[in-house]
Amino acid sequence: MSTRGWVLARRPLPLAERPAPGAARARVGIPTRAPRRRRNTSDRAGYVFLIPWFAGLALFTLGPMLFSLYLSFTNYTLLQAPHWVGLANFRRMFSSDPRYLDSVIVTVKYVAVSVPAKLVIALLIAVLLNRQRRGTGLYRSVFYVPSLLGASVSVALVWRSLFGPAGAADKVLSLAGIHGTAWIDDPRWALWTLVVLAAWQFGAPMVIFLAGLKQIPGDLYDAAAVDGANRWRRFWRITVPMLSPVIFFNLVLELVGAFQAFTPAYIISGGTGGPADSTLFYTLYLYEKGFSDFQFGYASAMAWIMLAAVGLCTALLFRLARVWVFYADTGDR
Amino acid sequence: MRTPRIRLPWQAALALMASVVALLAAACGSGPAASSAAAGGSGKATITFAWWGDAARAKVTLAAIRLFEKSHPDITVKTEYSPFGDYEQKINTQAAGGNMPDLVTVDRSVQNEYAQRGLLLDLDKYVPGTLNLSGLDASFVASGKTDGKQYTVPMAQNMQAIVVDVTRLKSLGVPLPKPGWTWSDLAAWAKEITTRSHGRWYGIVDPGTLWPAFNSWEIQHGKSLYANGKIAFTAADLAGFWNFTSSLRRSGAGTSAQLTATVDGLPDDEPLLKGRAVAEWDYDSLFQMYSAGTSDKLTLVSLPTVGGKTGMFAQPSMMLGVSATSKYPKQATELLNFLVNSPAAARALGTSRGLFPNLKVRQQLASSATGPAKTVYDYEAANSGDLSPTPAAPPKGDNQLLTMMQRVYQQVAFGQLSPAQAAAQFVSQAKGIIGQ
Amino acid sequence: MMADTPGAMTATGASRPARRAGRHGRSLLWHVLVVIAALVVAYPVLWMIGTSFKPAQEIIASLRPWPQHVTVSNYPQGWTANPGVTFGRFLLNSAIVCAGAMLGNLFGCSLAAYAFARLRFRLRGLLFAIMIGSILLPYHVLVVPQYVIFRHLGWVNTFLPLIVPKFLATDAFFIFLMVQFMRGIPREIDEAATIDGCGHFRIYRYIILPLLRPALITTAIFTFIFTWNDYFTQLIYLNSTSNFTVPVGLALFVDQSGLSSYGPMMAMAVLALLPVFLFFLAFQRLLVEGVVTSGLKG
Repeated sequence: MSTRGWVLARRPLPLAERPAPGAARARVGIPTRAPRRRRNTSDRAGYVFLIPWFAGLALFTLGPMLFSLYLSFTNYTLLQAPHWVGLANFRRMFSSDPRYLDSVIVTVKYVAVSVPAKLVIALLIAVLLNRQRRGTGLYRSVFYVPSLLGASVSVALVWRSLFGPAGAADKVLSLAGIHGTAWIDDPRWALWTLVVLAAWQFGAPMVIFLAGLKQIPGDLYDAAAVDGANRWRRFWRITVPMLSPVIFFNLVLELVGAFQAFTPAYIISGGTGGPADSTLFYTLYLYEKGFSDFQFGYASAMAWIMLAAVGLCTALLFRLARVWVFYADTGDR
Repeated sequence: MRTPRIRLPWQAALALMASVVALLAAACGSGPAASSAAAGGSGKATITFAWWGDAARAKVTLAAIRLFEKSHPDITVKTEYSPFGDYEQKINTQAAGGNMPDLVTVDRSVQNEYAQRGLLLDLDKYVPGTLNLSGLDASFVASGKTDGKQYTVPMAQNMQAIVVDVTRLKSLGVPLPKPGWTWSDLAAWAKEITTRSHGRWYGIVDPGTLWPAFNSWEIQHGKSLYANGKIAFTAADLAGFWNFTSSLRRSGAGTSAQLTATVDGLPDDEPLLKGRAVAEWDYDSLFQMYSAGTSDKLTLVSLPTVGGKTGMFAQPSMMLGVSATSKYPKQATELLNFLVNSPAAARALGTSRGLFPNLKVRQQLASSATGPAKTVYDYEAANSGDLSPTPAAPPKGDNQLLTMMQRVYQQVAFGQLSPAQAAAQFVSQAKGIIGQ
Repeated sequence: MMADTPGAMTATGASRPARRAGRHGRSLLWHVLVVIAALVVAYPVLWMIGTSFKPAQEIIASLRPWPQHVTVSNYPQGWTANPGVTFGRFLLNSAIVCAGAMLGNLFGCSLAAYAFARLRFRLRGLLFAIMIGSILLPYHVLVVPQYVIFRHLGWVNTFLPLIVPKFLATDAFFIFLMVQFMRGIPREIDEAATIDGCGHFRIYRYIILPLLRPALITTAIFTFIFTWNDYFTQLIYLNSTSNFTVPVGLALFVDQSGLSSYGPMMAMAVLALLPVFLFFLAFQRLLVEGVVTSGLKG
């Protein structure tokens, strides 16, 4: 039986067999009152629910977004009024700024490796922890601790020590016969230490996966077991499809987050993107241009290019989602 | 069958908490609105003073400020301090928002930038009434001028030096360098250290990433970094410097590329303190901090010379300026005057920023100094006769060259570029940055 | 009743002692795997805790995770490191900001998510795209215009810029999260309630919100953690030391102009980790009591 079949098997009863009006509410415990005619207030309701969001958007998001779009066509030193330069910033980015292209490459490498690593680890651990053994709560918390630390100064120091000369990583790898260097200070390896840092903080997607796993109705598994499906089949036929909205969510957000990654590189490299620009993330370069070099217009231009690129990626993901994401609320949308 | 409970109490509690938090949030955290409203006509002025530094520096600075407030009961000083790395970004954001602090510590590399962009007040009108600069060295004071106007006043003075770990030297049987030594002397001396310690200690930390080290190099060769607000050094000059530092590195006298890459301005990452090197190029104002980080005995040695020139000069370690949009410029200037002239301030501040600007007060402190502070005073006294004149404040964009130096030299150190190539690249990029 | 992974199902028909042994074996293996993974993941944290008990000389010189000479002096040193204000003040400030941000997000984002997930209205597609778009723009570019706005409102150096926008659903990340979770709730429940005469607000309040509990808890946890560790915004908007929060306070320990106090900093970082850890420990249990299926059965 397909996933959809299992879900639809629990479709509500036909009209004749439905409980009397008010019974549903009584079951759920809402105080009942005489049913009234259903108003077609979808439009109005939609806007009413969105009032806080509209206010936030107008005040704090849209205005600054449009202003930054304007700034991307200007030279703005932060200290004096912006002055218009048209497309000069964009032209400079792609033709006469080799560090810009370096930052793009560094960021793409980081995203391409850290996102899958993080998600796979998170999903595996979430599935592992999604059972009632003793101590699961404690284990969950332990796995989450790295994310709790965030990208703080203390984490940076720990990472520099662990991956620096004669650090723990070096010792462990020499046991495996790999005689290394100071990984975090070597331009060939510094970026990968940041990837490890990102993967280490898999707690956030793990928690989301756990929440999603909890939402999968147990009777689906019962029905599958009755049908004779083994653990592997149950994983691929129930867990993954039912979890697919959550997987999709995590994928999009981790991808966007990885493109925008800033604090790990900032703190570990001391803001320089070093050694030798090997950890110069896109946003780090943007920050340097905007706040250290007084070129806020150029930084805004960089931001909008990133928005366009990541927006395209996201739109692509949304399109692809129609193929593989299964939503329980509308069936196979 | 289980009926889920309605979470009515939960949501009511939530709403209640929300309002409480909102109230708390509004109450906690003093806003500038309150102080500026109160300040209007009551005669009591509240000014903000910002600086960069850690908690230790904050303690001594606050002590000095309390002394100021005691002698100026009509002025209240609010303080803002943050770590150096984020200080500039914070000030720039505040400047963009129009609320720069009244008295602000300005880094030398952005002094001209701020002045020329109209962020700082021209202090000439307060001299000599509120601001008495006669007790400071005239050329030292002049270093705070931009386009002939006194926009900033130096807050402390330091000098270039080589910090040397005497204990390790003694254990190797290597003698201390004598003043007047040359760069080739340094190369030999450092190599000796590496050899005798069997690679345990490098002789000296590779100075190739240090913009100020190159500055001194240029002065030693009779040149300068800037002239008339433009670049005055050539790719050949820089290549010469980098060829020398590369030879240090290759011979093992200077630290390896990876170790040099760990140098990020944080004292704790200094190879000397981590036990990896015996000498390091740095400013003497940081000597006390070095001493605190190790139980070894340390000392200061003057820079190697070229043709008898040390390339050293009295460097203002940081500047003080008054914001052009300050509501209380006179009061801010009074605080400035206090911080550069008052003996009480000098005693409170100590040498955390460098030597006190007022010469008479500095003398008084020097005569009673002990320990590492005494070493610094002695060093300055011993070298005051050989100093080159203090260069003018660097033009806009100098701070970018500082980071670029580190970045480009790392490429040389890791073998990605040759010194000549790197120098050429550096100069062409620098030309674009300066005078932008 | 919670959704259990397939592994917990036991097949009928096997003899009881063998089954029990098999289960014990699997359980043991599970524990071993999880413990190893937990140790690897926790090692850096253990290193951090160990360093907080090391004296200053040992911190720079040695790289062992556990101290040779245990000292607790880093803790009081770190606590009183800043003149005039203890680290406890930073912890309190962070707690206030985080609590406010949490409530803000729960309130604002759930309302907006309900609209996007459940309601059909004109411009829904466009507004959804704008909402997603607002997640994509790097924050550093918005910060200057936002700073100017807050300055005009007089909110600089207060906690308001860190809390109020949350009530207005500016964290689109969580709107998106809740939308995805809401789409996992079958519409049949809504339809049943509508037939009984529930308007949208009642459906939102009495049906969707309770069923959304895992997502709400996730939002609360994440908001708390993001805000607890958010350095840049708090650096920009908080000027007086007495208003500083934990991330800014920790950064004060490390500075170029003085010998950094690594020991006290690690001590305070460990201390700062505790509230978040305990918060998470407490709330993740709520995640376990999955609520979703109860509305469907019976």
